[in-house]
Amino acid sequence: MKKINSFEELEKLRKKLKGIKDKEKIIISVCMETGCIAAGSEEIYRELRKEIKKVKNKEIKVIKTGCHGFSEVDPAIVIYPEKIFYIRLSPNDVKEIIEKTIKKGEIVERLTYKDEKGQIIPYLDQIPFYKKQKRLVLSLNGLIDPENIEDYIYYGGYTALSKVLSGMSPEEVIEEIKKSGLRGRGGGGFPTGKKWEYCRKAEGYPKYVICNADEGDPGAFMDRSVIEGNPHSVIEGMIIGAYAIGSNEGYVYIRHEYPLALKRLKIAIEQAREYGFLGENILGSGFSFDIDIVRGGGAFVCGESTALMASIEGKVGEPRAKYIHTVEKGLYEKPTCLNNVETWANVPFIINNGWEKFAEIGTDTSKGTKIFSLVGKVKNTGLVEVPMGITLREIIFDIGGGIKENKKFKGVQTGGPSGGVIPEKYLDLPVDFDRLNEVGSMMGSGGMIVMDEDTCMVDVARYFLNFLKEESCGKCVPCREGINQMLEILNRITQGKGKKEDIEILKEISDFMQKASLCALGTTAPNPVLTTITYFYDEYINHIEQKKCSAGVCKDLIEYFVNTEKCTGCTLCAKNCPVNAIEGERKKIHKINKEKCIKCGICFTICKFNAIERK
Amino acid sequence: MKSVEIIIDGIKKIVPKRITILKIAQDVGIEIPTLCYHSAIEPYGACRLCIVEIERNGRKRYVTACNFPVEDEIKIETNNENVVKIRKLILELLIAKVGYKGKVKEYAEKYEVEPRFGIGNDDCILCGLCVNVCKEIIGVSAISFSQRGIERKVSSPFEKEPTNCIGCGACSFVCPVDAIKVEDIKNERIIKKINAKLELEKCKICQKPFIPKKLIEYIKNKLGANVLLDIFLICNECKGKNYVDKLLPFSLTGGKK
Ligand SMILES: Cc1cc2nc3c(=O)[nH]c(=O)nc-3n(C[C@H](O)[C@H](O)[C@H](O)COP(=O)(O)O)c2cc1C
Ligand code: SF4
Ligand code: SF4
Ligand code: FES
Repeated sequence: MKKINSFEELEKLRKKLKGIKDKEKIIISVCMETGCIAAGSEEIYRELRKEIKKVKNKEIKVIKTGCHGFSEVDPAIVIYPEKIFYIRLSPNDVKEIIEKTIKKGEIVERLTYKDEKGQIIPYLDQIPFYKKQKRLVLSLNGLIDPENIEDYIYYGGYTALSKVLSGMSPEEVIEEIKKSGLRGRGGGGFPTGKKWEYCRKAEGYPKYVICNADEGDPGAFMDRSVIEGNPHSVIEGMIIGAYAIGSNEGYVYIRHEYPLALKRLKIAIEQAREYGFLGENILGSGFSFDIDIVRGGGAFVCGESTALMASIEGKVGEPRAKYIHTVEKGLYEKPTCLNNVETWANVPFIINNGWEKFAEIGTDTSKGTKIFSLVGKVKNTGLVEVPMGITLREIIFDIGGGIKENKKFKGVQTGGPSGGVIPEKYLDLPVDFDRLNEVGSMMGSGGMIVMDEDTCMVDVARYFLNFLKEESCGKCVPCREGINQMLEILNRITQGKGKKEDIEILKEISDFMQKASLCALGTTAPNPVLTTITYFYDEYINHIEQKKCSAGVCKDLIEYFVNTEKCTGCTLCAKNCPVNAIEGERKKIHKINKEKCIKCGICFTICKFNAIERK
Repeated sequence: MKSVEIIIDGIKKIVPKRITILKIAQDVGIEIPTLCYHSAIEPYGACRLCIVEIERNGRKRYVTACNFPVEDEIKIETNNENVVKIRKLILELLIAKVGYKGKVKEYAEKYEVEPRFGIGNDDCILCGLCVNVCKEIIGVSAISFSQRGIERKVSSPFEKEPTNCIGCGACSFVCPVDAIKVEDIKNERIIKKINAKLELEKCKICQKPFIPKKLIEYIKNKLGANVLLDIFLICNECKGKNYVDKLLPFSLTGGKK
């Protein structure tokens, strides 16, 4: 491919692509992201390619794409233009799909999604998981081949860049972003336009733009999906941002454990260079910009802005004071604009459609959409993009399909490990930056963990604090020592050794950490503890005073015993107990030896007569 | 505008922009406790003991005095109830880690800390002074922090003998809790905490081994003056008075001033 040297040449290419691609009548898209590949989508893809070749029809194309987000049903394919959605496929299903759907236009019912009542829903857009979603950032995920820049260009890629470079001043670009109301998607929710403005006005050269793709939240994969599915949207956003702040050098700081995202990003950057979107004199505009990739330091804290910059400089990835903001003195002490993957990916949409189109989605203070990774005890797990302002109930019950095994909802943790747990009474809370803060949680980068009635909230607090203990860099006293002491107390409580004053001490340390920690890891770490104390106070009291864990999670507070009336002496429990703690002869009542029992609960789950009980 | 008016504990003062609160406090004679600060080293901001409350446009927040650069008109309270509460908890947590040692003991007594989390027996409070003095002043970076979180510790690379340590003892000198002991045993200087072992040169007069050979090399390179070198080859006792220490920010010969 020859470099594109002008805006006209770009449009010419797009026309040419239209001529070719419009002939592709049927597109079978196979999602190929880390998650789908693990579920076996590569085999499906190979089989499809093989079988389609036999059909010898140029109008049918099989492509590898980013993910459709519905992890629960992987591996899956979408057949365009009708968007027929086939799920949980195996390579053996391919022949039937070709014979029936591709050749005759028939639906293979057994491969479609079925709702609660067993109703067949063959089309993607009608599935409840998708109905309430609004896909802005993920609009092309699943439609384009992320390793082929021409797919992106065909669907309007790099028009925003072209628009900016051909007729907007940097100030106009900043104004557009400011008016759109876009706020950072990486955690803090800082207004993006304002950040760009500060950075543009800051003295010093060179200036840097950085994309934060560290995504250290356990279980979160929003940013990975954006990069694996549509890397050019991020690159285009970064070029526009660079132009706006006056930067010619950019970095993507990408998490160490993301080999596929890294590979696709590399390919995308190379292609963008080859086509003339990166490098010298972009599209003949006189503006130059290029991007380097830096691989993450492998620690959660490296996602924090100052730690990230230190890490790019080759230093230890540790936070430092931010009293002088990084927009003024960031990377190499130069003005630096750091934004999250999803933040950057929103930029082309805003430029293409105008700020009004973006601002009409969402709430007063939070505009546009947000991608969440919906996990935990919810039926439909996966990646969802929803308009800001949607309620938690809609996300969990309409999109997520409610709680698994029809258990009761207990709480939802938003915002990653240092977010708070939100109880049932706030299920109708509109999801936006400020409302989540009001109830003691946060948007964070978009983790959403749903918990059911079997969850112990003291244990939840302990679990997240334990994660943060491992991930605290250990530089400052409040975070390092504060988390450690809180964890000691929580451990004690879950062991039935808690004291009444422990709750006050937990609150005291929390308050202290919020005020005195050096970085946001430490200031937000108390959130899981504080919210569980606030909303599930009784549970703490239960552990401390009654020495009971009502959810049956804290091993030291539960006991398994045999209900002598129900036990049939089938010996199943005794055979399966890993420590041989169950005694009893065939057809005689069994007994659990308390000394030996490790409270694994295997007998409880395995007994066919519900004769093992827990208290 | 190069200067701003601030109020610190009720005292009005005009100060140059970007001066730190700690410097202002020192100027007006207000004492702010510090554990990880040393005037010759870049502020590190790790111990948080120097925390103060500032008020800007009616909004209050807590900042560390050692590295907070004053930009505009603010009101600073260096010792109010909230600040004291935070400091006490910092000290209480440090006592839980290292017990009553050095500056921690001094401040704990001053702030009347009553330890609820036990009295620990680690040696180090992880203030970073040793690591930073070695990097910034001595310029050899023989030691650094390893591990994260509660496992964090000061050590030589891979806990092996640090090849670039010159045995100057600056780390020991700056340590607020005396965690780094420098011992001269026969013809070796041993700094156990950082696994350093250095061969000593003998005093030209009394023949007692007293200065690491590597330190002499270092001084040679630094000063580039062979003429002066003899001064370094005479031990303190024989010299009577150690005037070398006056030339440098730290005692290079290892002894405390
Ligand atoms: C401990 C910690 C971890 C963080 N990890 C990430 C991360 O993985 N990705 C991210 O975009 N932001 C992360 N952040 C937030 C960044 O510091 C920064 O605010 C963000 O990248 C700015 O981009 P935005 O304005 O587009 O949100 C983290 C912050 C903290 C305190
Ligand atoms: S708050 Fe935690 S993660 Fe942040 S600097 Fe302090 S110890 Fe490190
Ligand atoms: S050894 Fe001393 S100087 Fe070094 S970090 Fe520990 S307490 Fe600070
Ligand atoms: S002296 Fe300021 S943080 Fe330690």
